[in-house]
Amino acid sequence: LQVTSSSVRLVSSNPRELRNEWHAPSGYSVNVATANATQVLLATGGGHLVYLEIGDGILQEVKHAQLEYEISCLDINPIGENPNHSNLAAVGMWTDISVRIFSLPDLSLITKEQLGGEIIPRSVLLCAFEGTSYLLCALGDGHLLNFMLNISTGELTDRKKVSLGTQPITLRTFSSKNTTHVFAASDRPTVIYSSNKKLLYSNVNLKEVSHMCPFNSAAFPDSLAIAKEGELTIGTIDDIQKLHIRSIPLGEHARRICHQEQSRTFAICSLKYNPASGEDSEMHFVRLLDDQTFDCSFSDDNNVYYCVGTAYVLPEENEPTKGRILVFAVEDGKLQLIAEKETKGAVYCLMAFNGKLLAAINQKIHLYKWVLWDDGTHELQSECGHHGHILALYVQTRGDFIVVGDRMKSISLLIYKHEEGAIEERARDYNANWMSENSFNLFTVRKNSEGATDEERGRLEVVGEYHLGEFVNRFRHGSLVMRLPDSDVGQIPTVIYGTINGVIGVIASLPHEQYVFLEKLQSNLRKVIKGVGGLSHEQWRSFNNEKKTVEARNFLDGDLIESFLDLNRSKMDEISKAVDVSVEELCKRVEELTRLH
Amino acid sequence: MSLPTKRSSTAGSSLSPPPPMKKAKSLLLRSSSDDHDAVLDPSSMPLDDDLPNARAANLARKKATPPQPAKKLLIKLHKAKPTLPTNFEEDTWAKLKSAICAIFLKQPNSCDLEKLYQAVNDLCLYKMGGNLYQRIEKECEAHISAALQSLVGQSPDLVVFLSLVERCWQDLCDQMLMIRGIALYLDRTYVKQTANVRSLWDMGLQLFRKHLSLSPEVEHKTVTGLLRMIESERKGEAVDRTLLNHLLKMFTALGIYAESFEKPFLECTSEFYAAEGVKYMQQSDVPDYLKHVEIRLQEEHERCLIYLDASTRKPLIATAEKQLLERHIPAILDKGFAMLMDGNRIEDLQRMYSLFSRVNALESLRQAISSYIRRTGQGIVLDEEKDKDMVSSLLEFKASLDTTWEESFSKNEAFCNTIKDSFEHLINLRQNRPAELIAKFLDEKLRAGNKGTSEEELEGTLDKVLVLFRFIQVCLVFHWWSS
Repeated sequence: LQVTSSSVRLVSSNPRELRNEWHAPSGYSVNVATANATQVLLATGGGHLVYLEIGDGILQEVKHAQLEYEISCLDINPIGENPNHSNLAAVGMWTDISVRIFSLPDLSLITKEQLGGEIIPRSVLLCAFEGTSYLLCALGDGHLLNFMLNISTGELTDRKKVSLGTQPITLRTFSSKNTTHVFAASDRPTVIYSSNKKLLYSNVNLKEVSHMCPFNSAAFPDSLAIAKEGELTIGTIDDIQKLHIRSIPLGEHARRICHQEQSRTFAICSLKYNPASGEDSEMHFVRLLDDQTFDCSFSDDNNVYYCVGTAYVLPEENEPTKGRILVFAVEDGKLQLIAEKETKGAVYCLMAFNGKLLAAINQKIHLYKWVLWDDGTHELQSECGHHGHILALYVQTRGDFIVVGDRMKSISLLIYKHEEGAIEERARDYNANWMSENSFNLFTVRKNSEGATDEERGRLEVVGEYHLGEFVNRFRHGSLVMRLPDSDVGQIPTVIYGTINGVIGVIASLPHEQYVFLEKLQSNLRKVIKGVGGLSHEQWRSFNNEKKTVEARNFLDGDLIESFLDLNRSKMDEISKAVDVSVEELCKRVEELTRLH
Repeated sequence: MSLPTKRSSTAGSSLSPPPPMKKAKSLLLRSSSDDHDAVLDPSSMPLDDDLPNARAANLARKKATPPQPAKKLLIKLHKAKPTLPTNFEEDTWAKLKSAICAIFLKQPNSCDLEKLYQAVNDLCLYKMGGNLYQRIEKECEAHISAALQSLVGQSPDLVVFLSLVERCWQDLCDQMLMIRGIALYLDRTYVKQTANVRSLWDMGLQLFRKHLSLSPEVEHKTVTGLLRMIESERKGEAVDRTLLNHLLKMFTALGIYAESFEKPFLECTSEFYAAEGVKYMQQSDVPDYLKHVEIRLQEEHERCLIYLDASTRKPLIATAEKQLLERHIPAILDKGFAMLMDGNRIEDLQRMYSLFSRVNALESLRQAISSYIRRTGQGIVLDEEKDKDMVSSLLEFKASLDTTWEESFSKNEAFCNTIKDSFEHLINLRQNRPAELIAKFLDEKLRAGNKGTSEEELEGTLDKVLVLFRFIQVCLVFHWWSS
């Protein structure tokens, strides 16, 4: 079947001759068309909808409908019992920006859904996953709407919206491993599929895909043909992977990285060894690379800046007594130094805070404000500070609260008081936890706001302890995977951590019932899964430092729990009996957990 | 240090079913691409750089599959590379230009919207987005300029003029949305990928703002009309609030609300309420004046909800409060406070308290209370001819003050202290005499026992008298009387 702007042509594949042709009325051209094995639906200008049926060597116009607005997209993918024939047609509209469901063959309107907003639908798709029918509707700005579709009544329910990119999307179905998938082609190609009756979205390691169609042949079964600008690719979907990794050689040792979305740049602090010279010398750089935001933004100034903290490391000093804070702007793809501020110590950490800049400098926390002078220059000006630390190495903020990690004195919680322009301590952890060398443990603390005395309220109490086995040097709120409205786990807050050995991990804050359930599962997994040489998982995960060893509490080992999916069936049955939950339910619950990362 | 637990996999018997397939979030596409050769051989093409890394990252869990034998796919190109039709760009632009003109002139266009969309798509795909953007901008500028020019010299009737401005603005919005719909692909590709290029919508706003500033008469007349309408509404006339809403939203969208409208609006507001405050203070008694102020503040609050930008609420209310209330605090207290207190006007005093708290005038109110208590109480304590009624009068006075404090003054702590201090002052105005009278009063109550009053009432009375007693600074009187 061939569709041109003026006609629909039925061509025999053998001997390649035209069998029949339907012509658009003169003065009208075919703008949009869709077809399946036996049906054709097309739209001409002026809002005309034409339905054709394909017979044996014949094209027959069955029905014509006049709509009040022009049509932007169509679909008649069969999702009922007959794989060659659809009883429903999906139509996307200009002007009133709606999607409509018509019945076939009579082209009667049975559902009209206003999409809202001001972006026209550019692709619409009827599809079925795991026996459930859906309508997918892709807008011109990269958003996708999905609805549950009742194929008997045409009713649309359970509307959801997800962002899949920034450009118009084209939707196509394909089959992989005997399962229906949908390919969303745009600047961020995505595959949509269903698991446990939930729609899931996975990125594809491609960019800027214009179109895709299934390409199934004996030599290349279940393949896809993918069109990009100037390129045609034929490939298959590999097993689903968790992360895409791309390596960029720097030639230097990267120490810090920061992403600035506004200027579309990364800034990297790097260290270069220079073995050529006789001495073992180092050079330190701030490099700009092109293409839970880490940007630094000040009040009363709409620009975004990179702020870099430095220290002068001199052999005669036990610890640095001098450093600088440098403020850079990205202009024409280059770093421009806007301001610098000398500090009385090493700048260990910088944080954007309340439109100002928070700095950890030796034993003190400083808050700087960004002052604009009459001559147009800017300066970092000290507003207030807080001392009482041994060595403030880490700072993190939320709202007006500041958490400080001290090298020797664990954690303290500070609060910034706007009216007074002061920072004062609210609580601290009185355990002597080294924050610079912590025996590879994790612990969590909680502020006791319900305490009866000031002393009690001023104490952070330890509520969780765990041996990770890795030295974590960064935590960031965020997720390694897309967060989707369909998913139960989409509501679970996660923190990503990075370690000195190059590990990237995820810590998730679980609801209480889920924690209790998984704790039970974990303790039973320990009985079934034995470490190499008979080593104990429980012992390995115990919080362990110079002064004490205690059993891990309020932490679960996600790796251990997820290994349930690797067990053979008999061991699964064994655990299922122990926790009194069916294997299917256990697999479902653990699989949901794997979607956190 | 103990070693971490390795994920052990026992050899499953051949009869056991395989574990269920794990699913994750990302897909990796094994692919090859056709560059110049017509022959595709996937197994011989180099894989993407990230493939080995991606595989390595998941080695622990990925099941190995045997490599597939190499297969070949032959693609033959029967024709030379397609070339663009001559004058492709010019012809396509001609269609788009015609459509844009039709949109701005509100005429039907012969070309389908979907065809226009595809035309933009085609131009972008052939790297002509930059030219197209400039042409669209130029075409839009011509029409926007003409639209604003047509407002110059229009209707002397300000309301009619404002309606014309609103129409012009609404047309711009509709037109830019339609143009963006047609050129959506340009907006989503070229615009996003090019630095310092505004989105089509923002470009429309910027052009409108530019040509509005090139016609200062239009902008000035619009602002004048808006201010006049608001003044009319303040004077009780019915005005078209929807019109006000739309035009003020226009100013906000154009980014000129604060400078062009809000600043002169606050100035006019200040003048209006300064004049009204003076006039009403002269012609109203204090309760009516405060009621009027309350109504005015409520009206201004509603104005912010209905058509002003939310950012205006704070300075607007502050301006009204300043002119109607803050500058008149002394006069209000001089003129009406004592009268309200004498009359136990709970509601009016409550209104006074809440209004004064808005302008940080509670300290003035507190001082007025202190003066009032001393002056009024003095009349009770120093009137020797009414000594026999002094204690009961003081008790009444105190009870009345406490009620006012609770119900009108929100149990304000500082006011409570003021009442105590003032009572202490006045009770000690006459040396010894109030103390004697309190002692006598107590004696009479105790002698009477339960005659005529219940025990609860007696206890209540004694409690109240003892409150007065605590204000006395001389302690020997009781001893003298008892002996």
